[in-house]
Amino acid sequence: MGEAYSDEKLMLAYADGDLRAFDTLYARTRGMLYRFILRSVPDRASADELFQETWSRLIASRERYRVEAKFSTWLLQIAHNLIIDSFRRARPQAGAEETETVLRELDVPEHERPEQVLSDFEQRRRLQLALDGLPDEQREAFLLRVEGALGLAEIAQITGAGQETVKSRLRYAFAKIREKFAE
Amino acid sequence: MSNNQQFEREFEKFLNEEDSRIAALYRKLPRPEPDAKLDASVLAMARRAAATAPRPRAHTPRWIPALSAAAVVALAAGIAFRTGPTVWQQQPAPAAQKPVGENAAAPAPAAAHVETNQRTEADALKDQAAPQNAIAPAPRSDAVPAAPPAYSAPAGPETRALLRKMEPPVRRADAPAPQAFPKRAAQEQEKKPAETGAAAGASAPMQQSGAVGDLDVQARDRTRDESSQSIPERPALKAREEKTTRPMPVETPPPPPAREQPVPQSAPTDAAAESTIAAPAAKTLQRAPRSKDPNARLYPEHWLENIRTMLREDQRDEALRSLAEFRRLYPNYHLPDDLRDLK
Repeated sequence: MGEAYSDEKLMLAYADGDLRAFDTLYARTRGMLYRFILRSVPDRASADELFQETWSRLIASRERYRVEAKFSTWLLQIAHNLIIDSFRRARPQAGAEETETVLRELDVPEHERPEQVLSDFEQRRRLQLALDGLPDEQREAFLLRVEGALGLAEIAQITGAGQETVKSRLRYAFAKIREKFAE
Repeated sequence: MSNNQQFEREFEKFLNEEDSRIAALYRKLPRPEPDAKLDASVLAMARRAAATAPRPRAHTPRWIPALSAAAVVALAAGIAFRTGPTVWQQQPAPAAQKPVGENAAAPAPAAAHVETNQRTEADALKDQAAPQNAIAPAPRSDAVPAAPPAYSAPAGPETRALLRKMEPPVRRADAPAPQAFPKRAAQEQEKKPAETGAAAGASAPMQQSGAVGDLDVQARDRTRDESSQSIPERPALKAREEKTTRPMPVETPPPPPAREQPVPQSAPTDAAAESTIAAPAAKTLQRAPRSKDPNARLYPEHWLENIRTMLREDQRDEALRSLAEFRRLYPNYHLPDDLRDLK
Protein backbone atom coordinates (compact mmCIF):
# COMPACT_ATOMS: atom_id res chain seq x y z
CA MET A 1 0.00 0.00 0.00
CA GLY A 2 1.94 2.99 -1.19
CA GLU A 3 1.28 6.62 -1.72
CA ALA A 4 -0.76 5.86 -4.82
CA TYR A 5 -3.77 5.08 -2.77
CA SER A 6 -5.84 7.87 -1.35
CA ASP A 7 -6.83 7.94 2.29
CA GLU A 8 -10.40 7.16 1.31
CA LYS A 9 -9.44 4.03 -0.65
CA LEU A 10 -7.27 2.86 2.21
CA MET A 11 -10.15 3.27 4.62
CA LEU A 12 -12.47 1.30 2.34
CA ALA A 13 -9.82 -1.40 2.05
CA TYR A 14 -9.52 -1.62 5.81
CA ALA A 15 -13.27 -1.83 6.13
CA ASP A 16 -13.01 -4.87 3.87
CA GLY A 17 -10.48 -6.38 6.26
CA ASP A 18 -7.17 -5.24 4.77
CA LEU A 19 -4.95 -4.55 7.78
CA ARG A 20 -2.06 -3.26 5.70
CA ALA A 21 -4.32 -0.52 4.45
CA PHE A 22 -4.95 0.55 8.02
CA ASP A 23 -1.26 0.57 8.80
CA THR A 24 -0.60 2.89 5.89
CA LEU A 25 -3.51 5.12 6.74
CA TYR A 26 -2.48 5.33 10.36
CA ALA A 27 1.08 6.21 9.47
CA ARG A 28 -0.13 9.04 7.25
CA THR A 29 -2.52 10.67 9.67
CA ARG A 30 -1.31 9.91 13.16
CA GLY A 31 0.91 13.02 13.52
CA MET A 32 -1.65 15.46 12.21
CA LEU A 33 -4.37 14.03 14.40
CA TYR A 34 -2.20 13.87 17.46
CA ARG A 35 -1.05 17.48 17.15
CA PHE A 36 -4.56 18.70 16.55
CA ILE A 37 -5.70 16.97 19.71
CA LEU A 38 -2.66 17.90 21.76
CA ARG A 39 -3.06 21.60 20.95
CA SER A 40 -6.72 21.51 21.69
CA VAL A 41 -6.57 19.94 25.13
CA PRO A 42 -4.60 20.99 28.18
CA ASP A 43 -2.35 18.01 28.78
CA ARG A 44 -0.65 15.15 27.05
CA ALA A 45 -2.46 12.47 28.99
CA SER A 46 -5.78 13.78 27.78
CA ALA A 47 -4.41 13.99 24.25
CA ASP A 48 -3.29 10.37 24.38
CA GLU A 49 -6.65 9.28 25.66
CA LEU A 50 -8.54 11.24 23.04
CA PHE A 51 -6.21 10.08 20.30
CA GLN A 52 -6.84 6.46 21.20
CA GLU A 53 -10.56 7.03 21.55
CA THR A 54 -10.69 8.70 18.14
CA TRP A 55 -9.17 5.68 16.45
CA SER A 56 -11.38 3.39 18.46
CA ARG A 57 -14.47 5.20 17.17
CA LEU A 58 -13.13 5.09 13.63
CA ILE A 59 -12.46 1.35 13.83
CA ALA A 60 -15.89 0.67 15.30
CA SER A 61 -17.65 2.53 12.53
CA ARG A 62 -15.47 1.38 9.65
CA GLU A 63 -18.31 -0.56 8.01
CA ARG A 64 -20.46 2.53 7.84
CA TYR A 65 -17.78 4.62 6.19
CA ARG A 66 -18.84 6.25 2.92
CA VAL A 67 -16.64 8.37 0.70
CA GLU A 68 -18.66 11.55 1.06
CA ALA A 69 -15.78 13.76 2.19
CA LYS A 70 -12.06 13.64 2.70
CA PHE A 71 -10.95 10.98 5.13
CA SER A 72 -9.08 13.57 7.18
CA THR A 73 -12.30 15.56 7.54
CA TRP A 74 -14.08 12.53 8.93
CA LEU A 75 -11.19 11.72 11.24
CA LEU A 76 -10.94 15.26 12.54
CA GLN A 77 -14.69 15.41 13.00
CA ILE A 78 -14.56 12.40 15.29
CA ALA A 79 -11.73 14.03 17.21
CA HIS A 80 -13.57 17.34 17.34
CA ASN A 81 -16.63 15.71 18.88
CA LEU A 82 -14.53 13.97 21.49
CA ILE A 83 -12.68 17.17 22.32
CA ILE A 84 -15.95 19.04 22.75
CA ASP A 85 -17.17 16.30 25.08
CA SER A 86 -13.96 16.49 27.08
CA PHE A 87 -14.32 20.27 27.36
CA ARG A 88 -17.79 19.84 28.74
CA ARG A 89 -16.59 17.28 31.25
CA ALA A 90 -13.51 19.15 32.44
CA ARG A 91 -14.02 22.85 32.69
CA PRO A 92 -12.30 25.16 33.47
CA GLN A 93 -9.49 24.79 31.02
CA ALA A 94 -5.84 24.65 31.88
CA GLY A 95 -4.14 27.90 32.62
CA ALA A 96 -0.94 29.41 31.33
CA GLU A 97 1.20 27.59 33.88
CA GLU A 98 0.03 24.24 32.72
CA THR A 99 0.69 25.29 29.16
CA GLU A 100 4.23 26.18 30.05
CA THR A 101 4.66 22.72 31.48
CA VAL A 102 3.40 21.14 28.31
CA LEU A 103 5.68 23.31 26.21
CA ARG A 104 8.66 22.25 28.24
CA GLU A 105 7.75 18.64 27.63
CA LEU A 106 7.48 19.07 23.90
CA ASP A 107 10.21 17.61 21.81
CA VAL A 108 12.69 20.04 20.35
CA PRO A 109 14.10 19.13 16.93
CA GLU A 110 17.73 18.19 17.29
CA HIS A 111 18.83 19.78 14.04
CA GLU A 112 18.02 23.23 15.29
CA ARG A 113 21.10 25.34 15.81
CA PRO A 114 21.87 26.33 19.45
CA GLU A 115 21.81 30.06 18.75
CA GLN A 116 18.37 29.80 17.27
CA VAL A 117 16.93 27.79 20.10
CA LEU A 118 16.12 30.57 22.50
CA SER A 119 14.63 32.77 19.83
CA ASP A 120 12.56 30.00 18.34
CA PHE A 121 11.54 28.81 21.74
CA GLU A 122 10.30 32.30 22.55
CA GLN A 123 8.35 32.43 19.32
CA ARG A 124 6.82 29.04 19.87
CA ARG A 125 6.01 30.00 23.41
CA ARG A 126 4.26 33.14 22.27
CA LEU A 127 2.35 31.24 19.65
CA GLN A 128 1.36 28.56 22.10
CA LEU A 129 0.25 31.17 24.62
CA ALA A 130 -1.71 32.95 21.91
CA LEU A 131 -3.39 29.70 20.95
CA ASP A 132 -4.21 28.93 24.56
CA GLY A 133 -5.70 32.36 24.99
CA LEU A 134 -8.12 31.90 22.15
CA PRO A 135 -11.71 30.93 22.74
CA ASP A 136 -12.28 27.24 22.00
CA GLU A 137 -14.12 27.78 18.72
CA GLN A 138 -11.47 30.14 17.36
CA ARG A 139 -8.58 27.94 18.41
CA GLU A 140 -10.21 24.87 16.89
CA ALA A 141 -10.88 26.65 13.61
CA PHE A 142 -7.29 27.83 13.51
CA LEU A 143 -5.89 24.35 14.22
CA LEU A 144 -8.13 22.75 11.62
CA ARG A 145 -6.91 25.31 9.14
CA VAL A 146 -3.18 25.10 9.82
CA GLU A 147 -2.82 21.57 11.13
CA GLY A 148 -5.54 19.77 9.18
CA ALA A 149 -5.03 21.96 6.08
CA LEU A 150 -8.77 22.18 5.73
CA GLY A 151 -10.71 24.84 3.87
CA LEU A 152 -13.62 26.90 5.14
CA ALA A 153 -16.24 24.43 3.89
CA GLU A 154 -14.57 21.46 5.57
CA ILE A 155 -14.09 23.31 8.84
CA ALA A 156 -17.73 24.33 8.71
CA GLN A 157 -18.71 20.71 8.13
CA ILE A 158 -16.70 19.48 11.09
CA THR A 159 -17.73 22.16 13.54
CA GLY A 160 -21.32 22.42 12.38
CA ALA A 161 -21.08 26.17 11.90
CA GLY A 162 -21.68 28.24 8.80
CA GLN A 163 -18.82 29.15 6.50
CA GLU A 164 -19.12 32.83 7.33
CA THR A 165 -19.02 32.02 11.00
CA VAL A 166 -15.90 29.94 10.48
CA LYS A 167 -14.31 32.73 8.51
CA SER A 168 -15.14 35.18 11.28
CA ARG A 169 -13.62 32.87 13.90
CA LEU A 170 -10.49 32.50 11.84
CA ARG A 171 -10.25 36.26 11.40
CA TYR A 172 -10.47 36.86 15.16
CA ALA A 173 -7.95 34.07 15.87
CA PHE A 174 -5.57 35.36 13.26
CA ALA A 175 -5.83 38.90 14.59
CA LYS A 176 -5.17 37.86 18.19
CA ILE A 177 -2.14 35.72 17.32
CA ARG A 178 -0.74 38.50 15.15
CA GLU A 179 -1.27 40.96 17.95
CA LYS A 180 0.59 38.67 20.34
CA PHE A 181 3.62 38.73 18.10
CA ALA A 182 3.48 42.50 17.75
CA GLU A 183 3.92 42.97 21.50
CA MET B 1 -0.44 50.68 3.19
CA SER B 2 -2.51 50.86 6.31
CA ASN B 3 -2.46 48.24 9.00
CA ASN B 4 -5.95 47.11 8.07
CA GLN B 5 -5.02 46.52 4.47
CA GLN B 6 -1.92 44.63 5.51
CA PHE B 7 -3.96 42.52 7.91
CA GLU B 8 -6.53 41.71 5.23
CA ARG B 9 -3.78 40.70 2.82
CA GLU B 10 -2.13 38.43 5.37
CA PHE B 11 -5.45 36.93 6.36
CA GLU B 12 -6.31 36.20 2.73
CA LYS B 13 -2.96 34.48 2.34
CA PHE B 14 -3.68 32.48 5.46
CA LEU B 15 -7.07 31.45 4.11
CA ASN B 16 -5.78 30.59 0.65
CA GLU B 17 -3.10 28.30 1.97
CA GLU B 18 -0.41 30.64 0.82
CA ASP B 19 2.63 31.14 2.97
CA SER B 20 1.60 33.50 5.72
CA ARG B 21 3.80 34.48 8.58
CA ILE B 22 1.57 32.91 11.20
CA ALA B 23 1.30 29.61 9.30
CA ALA B 24 5.03 29.51 8.82
CA LEU B 25 5.55 30.12 12.50
CA TYR B 26 3.07 27.43 13.38
CA ARG B 27 4.97 24.98 11.25
CA LYS B 28 8.04 25.84 13.26
CA LEU B 29 6.35 24.63 16.40
CA PRO B 30 7.47 21.25 17.65
CA ARG B 31 5.67 18.47 15.85
CA PRO B 32 4.89 15.99 18.58
CA GLU B 33 3.64 12.56 17.61
CA PRO B 34 2.10 9.74 19.55
CA ASP B 35 4.61 7.50 21.27
CA ALA B 36 5.27 3.93 20.23
CA LYS B 37 3.13 2.54 23.02
CA LEU B 38 0.16 4.51 21.79
CA ASP B 39 0.79 3.43 18.22
CA ALA B 40 0.94 -0.22 19.26
CA SER B 41 -2.26 0.14 21.19
CA VAL B 42 -4.14 1.60 18.23
CA LEU B 43 -2.77 -0.93 15.75
CA ALA B 44 -3.63 -3.80 18.08
CA MET B 45 -7.13 -2.42 18.41
CA ALA B 46 -7.48 -2.32 14.64
CA ARG B 47 -6.28 -5.91 14.29
CA ARG B 48 -8.61 -7.15 17.00
CA ALA B 49 -11.54 -5.49 15.32
CA ALA B 50 -10.63 -6.92 11.94
CA ALA B 51 -10.20 -10.39 13.44
CA THR B 52 -13.45 -10.43 15.39
CA ALA B 53 -15.63 -9.17 12.58
CA PRO B 54 -14.23 -10.48 9.33
CA ARG B 55 -17.40 -10.15 7.35
CA PRO B 56 -17.18 -8.96 3.77
CA ARG B 57 -18.38 -5.49 3.11
CA ALA B 58 -21.78 -5.36 1.47
CA HIS B 59 -21.70 -2.80 -1.28
CA THR B 60 -25.44 -2.43 -1.66
CA PRO B 61 -26.31 0.42 -3.94
CA ARG B 62 -28.62 2.93 -2.37
CA TRP B 63 -31.04 3.00 -5.25
CA ILE B 64 -32.11 -0.61 -4.73
CA PRO B 65 -34.31 0.02 -1.65
CA ALA B 66 -35.84 3.07 -3.28
CA LEU B 67 -36.57 1.15 -6.45
CA SER B 68 -38.07 -1.70 -4.44
CA ALA B 69 -40.37 0.66 -2.59
CA ALA B 70 -41.50 2.26 -5.82
CA ALA B 71 -42.17 -1.13 -7.36
CA VAL B 72 -44.26 -2.22 -4.36
CA VAL B 73 -46.30 0.97 -4.53
CA ALA B 74 -46.87 0.53 -8.25
CA LEU B 75 -47.88 -3.11 -7.77
CA ALA B 76 -50.32 -2.21 -5.00
CA ALA B 77 -51.83 0.54 -7.13
CA GLY B 78 -52.20 -1.86 -10.03
CA ILE B 79 -53.93 -4.48 -7.91
CA ALA B 80 -56.22 -1.87 -6.43
CA PHE B 81 -57.04 -0.58 -9.90
CA ARG B 82 -57.84 -4.05 -11.19
CA THR B 83 -59.77 -5.38 -8.23
CA GLY B 84 -61.07 -2.19 -6.71
CA PRO B 85 -64.30 -1.72 -8.70
CA THR B 86 -65.37 -5.32 -8.14
CA VAL B 87 -64.85 -5.06 -4.44
CA TRP B 88 -66.66 -1.77 -4.28
CA GLN B 89 -69.63 -3.19 -6.09
CA GLN B 90 -69.81 -6.04 -3.63
CA GLN B 91 -69.72 -3.80 -0.62
CA PRO B 92 -73.18 -2.96 0.76
CA ALA B 93 -74.28 0.60 0.43
CA PRO B 94 -75.87 2.42 3.34
CA ALA B 95 -79.35 1.07 4.03
CA ALA B 96 -81.17 4.28 3.22
CA GLN B 97 -79.67 4.38 -0.25
CA LYS B 98 -79.97 0.73 -1.11
CA PRO B 99 -82.01 0.02 -4.17
CA VAL B 100 -84.27 -2.99 -4.15
CA GLY B 101 -81.90 -4.89 -6.36
CA GLU B 102 -79.15 -4.70 -3.84
CA ASN B 103 -81.48 -5.77 -1.09
CA ALA B 104 -82.42 -8.70 -3.20
CA ALA B 105 -78.83 -9.82 -3.13
CA ALA B 106 -79.14 -10.46 0.60
CA PRO B 107 -81.23 -13.68 0.49
CA ALA B 108 -78.42 -15.79 -0.87
CA PRO B 109 -76.23 -15.54 2.21
CA ALA B 110 -79.33 -15.44 4.35
CA ALA B 111 -80.41 -18.81 3.03
CA ALA B 112 -77.05 -20.23 3.89
CA HIS B 113 -77.41 -18.89 7.36
CA VAL B 114 -80.81 -20.47 7.76
CA GLU B 115 -79.33 -23.77 6.85
CA THR B 116 -76.75 -23.44 9.59
CA ASN B 117 -79.32 -22.11 12.07
CA GLN B 118 -77.53 -18.81 12.44
CA ARG B 119 -79.63 -15.74 12.68
CA THR B 120 -78.41 -12.73 10.82
CA GLU B 121 -79.62 -9.37 9.76
CA ALA B 122 -81.17 -10.96 6.74
CA ASP B 123 -83.18 -13.21 9.01
CA ALA B 124 -84.39 -10.23 10.89
CA LEU B 125 -85.57 -8.78 7.61
CA LYS B 126 -87.45 -11.98 6.96
CA ASP B 127 -89.10 -11.68 10.32
CA GLN B 128 -90.35 -8.39 9.18
CA ALA B 129 -91.43 -9.79 5.89
CA ALA B 130 -93.82 -12.37 7.30
CA PRO B 131 -96.35 -10.05 8.93
CA GLN B 132 -96.03 -7.76 5.99
CA ASN B 133 -97.27 -10.56 3.86
CA ALA B 134 -100.22 -10.88 6.14
CA ILE B 135 -101.43 -7.58 4.81
CA ALA B 136 -100.15 -7.60 1.29
CA PRO B 137 -99.69 -11.25 0.63
CA ALA B 138 -98.17 -11.49 -2.76
CA PRO B 139 -97.20 -15.09 -3.31
CA ARG B 140 -93.52 -14.39 -3.51
CA SER B 141 -93.14 -11.32 -1.38
CA ASP B 142 -92.03 -13.34 1.61
CA ALA B 143 -89.00 -14.49 -0.27
CA VAL B 144 -87.83 -10.97 -0.87
CA PRO B 145 -86.46 -9.14 2.11
CA ALA B 146 -88.31 -5.96 2.80
CA ALA B 147 -86.61 -2.83 1.68
CA PRO B 148 -85.71 -0.31 4.36
CA PRO B 149 -88.63 1.94 5.26
CA ALA B 150 -86.81 4.99 3.97
CA TYR B 151 -86.77 3.58 0.49
CA SER B 152 -89.59 4.67 -1.77
CA ALA B 153 -88.14 4.67 -5.26
CA PRO B 154 -89.70 2.26 -7.72
CA ALA B 155 -87.63 -0.69 -8.68
CA GLY B 156 -86.19 -0.73 -12.15
CA PRO B 157 -86.40 -3.61 -14.59
CA GLU B 158 -82.84 -4.72 -13.90
CA THR B 159 -83.43 -4.67 -10.22
CA ARG B 160 -86.60 -6.69 -10.55
CA ALA B 161 -84.85 -9.19 -12.74
CA LEU B 162 -82.17 -9.58 -10.15
CA LEU B 163 -84.85 -9.85 -7.52
CA ARG B 164 -86.51 -12.69 -9.33
CA LYS B 165 -83.18 -14.36 -9.86
CA MET B 166 -82.42 -14.30 -6.18
CA GLU B 167 -85.80 -15.53 -5.02
CA PRO B 168 -85.86 -19.27 -5.68
CA PRO B 169 -83.10 -20.43 -3.34
CA VAL B 170 -84.54 -18.41 -0.52
CA ARG B 171 -88.02 -19.65 -1.14
CA ARG B 172 -86.82 -23.21 -1.09
CA ALA B 173 -85.01 -22.70 2.14
CA ASP B 174 -87.49 -20.55 3.98
CA ALA B 175 -90.93 -21.24 2.63
CA PRO B 176 -91.81 -24.87 2.67
CA ALA B 177 -95.52 -24.17 2.16
CA PRO B 178 -95.96 -21.40 -0.32
CA GLN B 179 -99.63 -22.23 -0.88
CA ALA B 180 -100.42 -20.94 2.60
CA PHE B 181 -99.91 -17.35 1.58
CA PRO B 182 -103.00 -16.97 -0.59
CA LYS B 183 -104.97 -18.33 2.29
CA ARG B 184 -103.58 -15.74 4.61
CA ALA B 185 -104.19 -13.10 2.02
CA ALA B 186 -107.81 -14.00 1.96
CA GLN B 187 -107.98 -13.68 5.71
CA GLU B 188 -106.41 -10.29 5.57
CA GLN B 189 -108.79 -9.16 2.89
CA GLU B 190 -111.63 -10.00 5.21
CA LYS B 191 -110.00 -8.08 8.03
CA LYS B 192 -109.24 -5.03 5.99
CA PRO B 193 -111.95 -4.33 3.52
CA ALA B 194 -110.68 -0.83 2.96
CA GLU B 195 -107.46 -2.11 1.60
CA THR B 196 -109.03 -4.67 -0.56
CA GLY B 197 -108.57 -2.78 -3.76
CA ALA B 198 -104.87 -2.35 -3.37
CA ALA B 199 -104.14 -5.58 -1.62
CA ALA B 200 -106.31 -7.74 -3.81
CA GLY B 201 -104.34 -6.94 -6.87
CA ALA B 202 -101.18 -7.81 -5.09
CA SER B 203 -102.56 -10.78 -3.25
CA ALA B 204 -104.00 -12.53 -6.24
CA PRO B 205 -101.92 -15.52 -7.10
CA MET B 206 -99.53 -14.53 -9.79
CA GLN B 207 -99.14 -17.00 -12.54
CA GLN B 208 -97.25 -14.81 -14.95
CA SER B 209 -93.70 -14.85 -13.86
CA GLY B 210 -92.95 -11.55 -15.57
CA ALA B 211 -95.54 -9.71 -13.59
CA VAL B 212 -94.70 -11.26 -10.31
CA GLY B 213 -91.75 -9.09 -9.52
CA ASP B 214 -93.45 -5.84 -10.57
CA LEU B 215 -96.54 -6.36 -8.58
CA ASP B 216 -94.65 -7.81 -5.77
CA VAL B 217 -92.49 -4.76 -5.38
CA GLN B 218 -95.34 -2.37 -6.01
CA ALA B 219 -97.53 -4.09 -3.49
CA ARG B 220 -94.78 -3.99 -0.93
CA ASP B 221 -94.12 -0.34 -1.59
CA ARG B 222 -97.79 0.46 -1.45
CA THR B 223 -98.46 -1.42 1.71
CA ARG B 224 -95.34 -0.41 3.51
CA ASP B 225 -96.82 2.81 4.79
CA GLU B 226 -100.20 1.30 5.39
CA SER B 227 -98.84 -1.64 7.23
CA SER B 228 -96.38 0.30 9.28
CA GLN B 229 -98.83 0.17 12.15
CA SER B 230 -99.20 -3.56 12.06
CA ILE B 231 -95.68 -4.50 11.10
CA PRO B 232 -93.94 -5.66 14.20
CA GLU B 233 -90.77 -3.82 14.73
CA ARG B 234 -87.63 -5.62 13.81
CA PRO B 235 -86.25 -7.47 16.81
CA ALA B 236 -83.10 -5.44 16.85
CA LEU B 237 -84.99 -2.17 16.76
CA LYS B 238 -87.48 -3.35 19.28
CA ALA B 239 -84.77 -4.44 21.64
CA ARG B 240 -83.09 -1.11 21.23
CA GLU B 241 -86.32 0.72 21.95
CA GLU B 242 -87.03 -1.35 25.00
CA LYS B 243 -83.54 -0.77 26.18
CA THR B 244 -83.94 2.97 25.98
CA THR B 245 -87.43 3.19 27.43
CA ARG B 246 -87.67 0.48 30.03
CA PRO B 247 -85.10 1.50 32.63
CA MET B 248 -86.19 5.10 32.64
CA PRO B 249 -88.35 5.87 35.64
CA VAL B 250 -90.33 8.37 33.61
CA GLU B 251 -93.90 7.73 32.68
CA THR B 252 -93.30 7.38 29.03
CA PRO B 253 -96.40 5.88 27.54
CA PRO B 254 -95.94 2.89 25.30
CA PRO B 255 -97.19 3.04 21.76
CA PRO B 256 -100.88 3.80 21.72
CA PRO B 257 -103.18 0.78 21.84
CA ALA B 258 -104.44 1.61 18.39
CA ARG B 259 -101.07 0.67 16.99
CA GLU B 260 -101.09 -2.66 18.71
CA GLN B 261 -104.60 -3.53 17.75
CA PRO B 262 -104.09 -4.61 14.18
CA VAL B 263 -101.41 -7.11 15.03
CA PRO B 264 -102.98 -10.24 13.78
CA GLN B 265 -103.47 -12.93 16.32
CA SER B 266 -103.17 -15.41 13.57
CA ALA B 267 -99.73 -14.25 12.68
CA PRO B 268 -97.94 -16.58 15.08
CA THR B 269 -99.96 -19.53 13.96
CA ASP B 270 -99.55 -18.68 10.33
CA ALA B 271 -95.91 -18.12 10.83
CA ALA B 272 -95.52 -21.35 12.68
CA ALA B 273 -97.28 -23.17 9.91
CA GLU B 274 -95.50 -21.47 7.10
CA SER B 275 -92.06 -20.63 8.22
CA THR B 276 -89.92 -20.99 11.24
CA ILE B 277 -88.47 -17.61 10.60
CA ALA B 278 -91.62 -15.72 11.48
CA ALA B 279 -91.92 -17.41 14.84
CA PRO B 280 -89.64 -15.15 16.86
CA ALA B 281 -91.49 -12.06 15.74
CA ALA B 282 -94.82 -13.50 16.77
CA LYS B 283 -93.35 -14.56 20.07
CA THR B 284 -92.25 -11.05 20.72
CA LEU B 285 -95.72 -9.76 20.04
CA GLN B 286 -97.32 -12.19 22.46
CA ARG B 287 -95.13 -10.97 25.25
CA ALA B 288 -96.36 -7.39 25.00
CA PRO B 289 -99.13 -6.62 27.52
CA ARG B 290 -102.32 -5.50 25.92
CA SER B 291 -105.11 -3.86 27.82
CA LYS B 292 -107.82 -1.33 27.27
CA ASP B 293 -107.18 0.11 30.68
CA PRO B 294 -105.23 3.33 30.17
CA ASN B 295 -103.32 2.56 33.36
CA ALA B 296 -101.78 -0.40 31.60
CA ARG B 297 -99.40 2.06 30.01
CA LEU B 298 -97.96 2.90 33.37
CA TYR B 299 -95.46 1.10 35.47
CA PRO B 300 -97.13 -1.28 37.93
CA GLU B 301 -96.39 0.93 40.94
CA HIS B 302 -97.97 3.94 39.30
CA TRP B 303 -100.91 1.88 38.19
CA LEU B 304 -101.50 0.73 41.76
CA GLU B 305 -101.21 4.27 42.97
CA ASN B 306 -103.93 5.27 40.56
CA ILE B 307 -106.12 2.45 41.87
CA ARG B 308 -105.66 3.79 45.37
CA THR B 309 -106.62 7.25 44.15
CA MET B 310 -109.79 5.82 42.65
CA LEU B 311 -110.62 4.19 45.95
CA ARG B 312 -110.08 7.44 47.76
CA GLU B 313 -112.35 9.22 45.31
CA ASP B 314 -115.12 6.64 45.79
CA GLN B 315 -114.67 5.12 42.36
CA ARG B 316 -114.66 1.63 43.78
CA ASP B 317 -116.09 -0.14 40.75
CA GLU B 318 -113.56 1.46 38.49
CA ALA B 319 -110.78 0.63 40.92
CA LEU B 320 -111.85 -3.01 41.15
CA ARG B 321 -112.04 -3.29 37.41
CA SER B 322 -108.61 -1.79 37.03
CA LEU B 323 -107.21 -4.04 39.76
CA ALA B 324 -108.64 -7.09 38.03
CA GLU B 325 -106.99 -5.98 34.84
CA PHE B 326 -103.76 -5.47 36.73
CA ARG B 327 -103.97 -8.99 38.14
CA ARG B 328 -104.58 -10.34 34.69
CA LEU B 329 -101.57 -8.64 33.20
CA TYR B 330 -99.28 -9.10 36.16
CA PRO B 331 -100.33 -12.39 37.72
CA ASN B 332 -97.08 -12.80 39.58
CA TYR B 333 -96.91 -9.29 40.96
CA HIS B 334 -96.85 -9.15 44.75
CA LEU B 335 -99.69 -6.79 45.58
CA PRO B 336 -99.43 -4.56 48.63
CA ASP B 337 -101.55 -5.46 51.65
CA ASP B 338 -104.13 -2.75 51.13
CA LEU B 339 -104.95 -4.00 47.65
CA ARG B 340 -104.32 -7.71 47.97
CA ASP B 341 -107.66 -8.55 49.58
CA LEU B 342 -109.64 -5.90 47.83
CA LYS B 343 -112.69 -7.39 46.09
